[in-house]
Amino acid sequence: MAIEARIGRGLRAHVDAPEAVDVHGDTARDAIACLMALHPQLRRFVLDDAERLRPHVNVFINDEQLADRAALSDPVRDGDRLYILPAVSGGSR
Amino acid sequence: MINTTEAGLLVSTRKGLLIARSSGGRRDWDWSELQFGGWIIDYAVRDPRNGTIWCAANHWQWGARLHRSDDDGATWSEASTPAFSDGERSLQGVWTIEPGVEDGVLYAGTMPAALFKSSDDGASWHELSALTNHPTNERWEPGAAGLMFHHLGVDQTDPGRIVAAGSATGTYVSYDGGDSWQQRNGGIRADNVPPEMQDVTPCIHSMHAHPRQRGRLWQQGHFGQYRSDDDGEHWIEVGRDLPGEFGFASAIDPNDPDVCYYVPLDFDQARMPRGGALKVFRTSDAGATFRELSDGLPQAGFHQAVYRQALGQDGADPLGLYMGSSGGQLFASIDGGERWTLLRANLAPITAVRAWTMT
Repeated sequence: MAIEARIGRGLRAHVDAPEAVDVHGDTARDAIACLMALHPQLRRFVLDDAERLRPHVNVFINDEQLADRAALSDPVRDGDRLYILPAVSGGSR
Repeated sequence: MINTTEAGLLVSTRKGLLIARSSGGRRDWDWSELQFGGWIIDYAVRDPRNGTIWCAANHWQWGARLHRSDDDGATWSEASTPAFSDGERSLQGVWTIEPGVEDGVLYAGTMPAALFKSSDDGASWHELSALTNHPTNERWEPGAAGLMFHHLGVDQTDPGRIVAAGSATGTYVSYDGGDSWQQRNGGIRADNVPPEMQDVTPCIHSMHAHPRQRGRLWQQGHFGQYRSDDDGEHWIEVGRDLPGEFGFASAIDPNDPDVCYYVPLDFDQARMPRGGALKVFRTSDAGATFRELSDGLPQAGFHQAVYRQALGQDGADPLGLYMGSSGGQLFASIDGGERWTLLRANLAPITAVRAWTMT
């Protein structure tokens, strides 16, 4: 079993990445780190210089939005889906 | 007279980059397809030393990054991008890139306000932290677009001399390649702070260090147009008779240190051309007098701005000027601003225009 990371269409429009990737870890941070190790081209799209989630990137675990955007400490377990999706905010420019 | 047989334009917009080339005396232009469609292009510039085009792209969701093209924009590769290493700040945009003197040296002004240097043609960057950590930085205050250094003057005859200006940081000069900096804002008005603080950290909107006269700087500020003859130690307000102290863009003529172009906007509570008339003004006598240049420009109902990087010049004689508006119109003049023509319309808001001619 694994966690299924799913990369949103809006992100895949900009960077070559699969729609779904099996990743591992106990927290969202672990799972995202695993995803970045497998597909390092995603790193600068999802995380900023300080390794923080970019403000207009949404992360869901199944149907729950990530609670801890700062430390990404939300637990994940095998069988979960981890969605990385562009928010609808931020497009005013 | 500089050969203008081959000319090029980089038009940065909030929805991508356009590249144009002319081999017909700057009258007929061949346009590229939109590059980086959907990305905000904060700045694009051609390095005259090797022809590399640098493109600072930005996206509200995915962040800022640099791209480079070594084949005139036919193909692009994502380049190393300046990054902060303190675990706190994060790059929000690259607002200017300036070639240095030595081979491979480049400078980048960023938001949040910092200056980065590359010594290996953009393969890696490091922050010139003496500027960021200047003891006056506690007075820096973001303008409407954020806190950034957006104009750099890199002396092509003296690798140690760099002038940096930003919003709202004021102007700084270094004579040792960026190891130390002096604040240079004497004489600049700042109506946003008390009289006792006039020259602390004024909001500079555009600034140019003239390549042929050491010490000669020109700037469009938040409150007025200025010239300096001593690297900013003293600034002289030159635009009191112009129709608006506000404005973003300015341009110099690299062939004549006494020439500067401004696009005045009514004061900072309006930020558009007075009376709906788009006018460019040129001084040819170091700011003593100005000539209005509006032939061919809309003189009624024009309620757009010209952003801080959106007045480019091509260095030729007669000087070519290329001016992009916040409403996506691109105007050009190939006679130093005497007569303007509309080159493109219906573009996204134009953030920057840079031009070159082949000599």
